[in-house]
Amino acid sequence: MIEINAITAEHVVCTEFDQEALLVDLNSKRYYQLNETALLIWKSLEKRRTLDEIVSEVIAGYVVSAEQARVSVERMIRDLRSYRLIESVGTPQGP
Amino acid sequence: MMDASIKLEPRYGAQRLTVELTNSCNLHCPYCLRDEDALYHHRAEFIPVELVRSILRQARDVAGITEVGFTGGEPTLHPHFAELIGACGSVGIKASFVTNGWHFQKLWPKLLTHRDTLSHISFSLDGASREAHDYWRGEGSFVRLIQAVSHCYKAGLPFTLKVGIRRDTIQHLEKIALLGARLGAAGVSFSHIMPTSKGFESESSLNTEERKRAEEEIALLARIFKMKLGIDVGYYNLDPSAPCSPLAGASFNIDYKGNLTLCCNLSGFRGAVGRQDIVANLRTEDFSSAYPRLRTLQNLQLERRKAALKASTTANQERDLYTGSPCLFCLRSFGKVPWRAAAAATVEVKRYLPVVLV
Repeated sequence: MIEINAITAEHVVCTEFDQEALLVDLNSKRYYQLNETALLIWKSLEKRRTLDEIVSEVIAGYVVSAEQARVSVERMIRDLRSYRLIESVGTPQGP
Repeated sequence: MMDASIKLEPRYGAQRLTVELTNSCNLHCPYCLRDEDALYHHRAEFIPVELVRSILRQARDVAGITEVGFTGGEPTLHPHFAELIGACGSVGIKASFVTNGWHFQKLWPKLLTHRDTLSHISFSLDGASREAHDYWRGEGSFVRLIQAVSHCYKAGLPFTLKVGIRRDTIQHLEKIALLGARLGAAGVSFSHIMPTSKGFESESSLNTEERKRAEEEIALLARIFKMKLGIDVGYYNLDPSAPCSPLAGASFNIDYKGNLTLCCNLSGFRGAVGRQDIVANLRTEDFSSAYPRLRTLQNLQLERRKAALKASTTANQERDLYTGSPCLFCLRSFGKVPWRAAAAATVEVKRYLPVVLV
């Protein structure tokens, strides 16, 4: 089980719409749009899910292979880190 | 053939009215200009929808109204808020409202059904950060405001930010403007905070020099930013022509009791003793019969201001805020700031605003 060791940043405000969301980074004052799958991942991060758990949720909700789901989740987490929308806690082990 | 006549006239925007939908508010901002008893100690009152419908029709026909701004209290607390927006649309009037954004998420689906009627939404903002805003409005206010703004941004509905100029905001005018620009606001509108007590005036209102500095800074920011940015009426202004839309006859106000009044900034003012800004109660009198008296009051107040400015200039007085600032002039002349008068001790004042700064 791989811990992501990251939490959604406090300076980010998420606003949900029907199947998607907007994030506002209060530091950079920038908007980021999340589609349905990205929102699912974001909400999983808020709940402090592990990487395996998030991948499982994606597989359960969408027609996608486990390998592809893992690649997509890892990529999104990397993107969120690079935009500083999530914050590291502890020692990073995962993506 | 071109018209060779030359016209140069000040513009005050569309003919419009503000309607206070309720005396009630879910937040307790200590600087609020509305009467504290009405806000928190009396039962909530909501202006009847049918009364608003009737006023809208008459105001359109008699006064040429094309725009309405809903305010309060917190206007979105009105149980028929969306219906009131729809009422504007049904008579061809554009609507806007000013809100703290707290209930926006819940309200949004209903608002969308009247999207074509809404010209814009204004959000009250107290600072450029969560800490600064929530200091005045309570924890969670800033996040809710950002979420409300996000809804507007995504839907392409224009929104503006309304910011009071106080001692704590004067240092952050540029940051506030930048926040508005980055969030995609159509504009940021600054206004001097209204003095509601001696304590609040000395603690939070700007003195003459600070006001001048703030007004210069805002003028500078207005040249830098692409969005509309400016200061609402109330800035120091010795021009004797009408300084604002109410005194120019371009706007007027209806309070939650159905009173026709001169200006929303004077209405239900905290600690006021004067009620001469109230022209009629439209529950018992038609707008069309009351409107000429409003025009008379507007002209009378404009003449009073001209006379005061002339006297001030003749006497070669130093910069006097309560003459030079149109809002302060009206507050004083309509008995809204009795605590300033020398005879204040003889005036029965209901309640002062407690200054809560901790």
